[in-house]
Amino acid sequence: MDQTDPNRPNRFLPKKDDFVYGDSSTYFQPQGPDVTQHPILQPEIPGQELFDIYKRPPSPKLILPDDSYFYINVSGQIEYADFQGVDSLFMKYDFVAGPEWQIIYGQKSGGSQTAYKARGSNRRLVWNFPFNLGFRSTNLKGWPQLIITCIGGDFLGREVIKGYGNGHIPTQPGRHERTLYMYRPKSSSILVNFIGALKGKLAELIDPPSTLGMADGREVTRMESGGSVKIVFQVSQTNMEKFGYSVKSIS
Amino acid sequence: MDSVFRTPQVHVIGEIIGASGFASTKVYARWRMNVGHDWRLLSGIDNGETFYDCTEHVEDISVFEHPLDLHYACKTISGWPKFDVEVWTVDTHGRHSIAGYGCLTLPMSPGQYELDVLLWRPEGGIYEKLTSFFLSANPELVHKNMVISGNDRFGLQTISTGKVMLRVGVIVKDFNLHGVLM
Repeated sequence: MDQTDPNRPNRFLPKKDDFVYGDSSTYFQPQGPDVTQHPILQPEIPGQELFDIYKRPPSPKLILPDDSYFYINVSGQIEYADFQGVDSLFMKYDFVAGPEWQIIYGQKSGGSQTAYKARGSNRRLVWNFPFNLGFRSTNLKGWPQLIITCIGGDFLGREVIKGYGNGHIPTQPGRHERTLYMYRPKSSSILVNFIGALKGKLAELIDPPSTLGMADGREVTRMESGGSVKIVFQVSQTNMEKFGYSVKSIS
Repeated sequence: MDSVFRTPQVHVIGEIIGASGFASTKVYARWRMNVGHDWRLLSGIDNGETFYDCTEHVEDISVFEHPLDLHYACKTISGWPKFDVEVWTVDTHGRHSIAGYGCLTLPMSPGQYELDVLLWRPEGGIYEKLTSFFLSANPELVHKNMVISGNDRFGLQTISTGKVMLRVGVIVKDFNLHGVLM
């Protein structure tokens, strides 16, 4: 039976390539007699085969990671934004990393719902947007970064940029609370700013995920700051010690 | 491979978050990472200039969010990376003047840190004070190497200004093979 056939009898069974990124010879093979084939434990009932699609799929085999990579698991949530004078906001996130990094699971980018402030208050805008990604690499160069674009409505309800933010994910395993401060580009003159505000097209960056993560080319770019976004990261790392890296003080 | 031939390496990963505590909120910063002679930059950019934050209203922090991702190889532990920053302010007439110099030795222990670089600038005599008041031209250092060294500071009169906030993670590699405890 071809495992990749979508019409195979039990579509709940994991495909052969699912969850596997290591060497297939290192899988844990279950030992002992197969209970499903035992005549006493599994009596023959007429019509049993009709219910085979409801049979519980076998538990996934233990998969060992490939030792030629180190792995970083990042999960957490983008909790809330603190913006003055902004009533509604939605957020788009992007994880960017260097060319040697690969994402093995999870969503690289995504967008949140539109959050409104509670009526009559000037409190924070809560998204509580969860994310969960796994990275692997052989080199620390190009450590993954999180880039956030906040988009809100202007006085006519048109979508304009309210702020960008960027930050590396923490290098130390554990739980980290981060506050990313937001900034947005400023128009080159008051007239351009006024026309942009009328047309609903304020100054914005062309490709923020690929430009904000770079350390060069930032000089003489005028930015206005305002607002912040609170993020909680949970980081775990695998195989860093085998590569010789120390990420944490021994004390 | 024999462990003796493995060169110790240091990764510095983080951001320059921003600056606060200056007379004007319109600031930008120039930064540089200084290392010793036996250190080599393998990848990354070790000097630069941040965004110019030109916010009109008064915020408690001017935001740079400048990413740092540096990779060093070293033969000796002396000359550990020193972060050296100078902050410039822009007044209402668009004149740029120095607001502070500062330096910070990065932590040697690996881990995740939030650090503050405290800044100062030279004060000068009565003539420089008058120039600074009317023309917004603060006196600058001619030899900027004195920011990262402890020599030749006697007699210099300085004014304490603001601070620059850093968020860095330090990752070291193969120092333990040479008997160095970090």
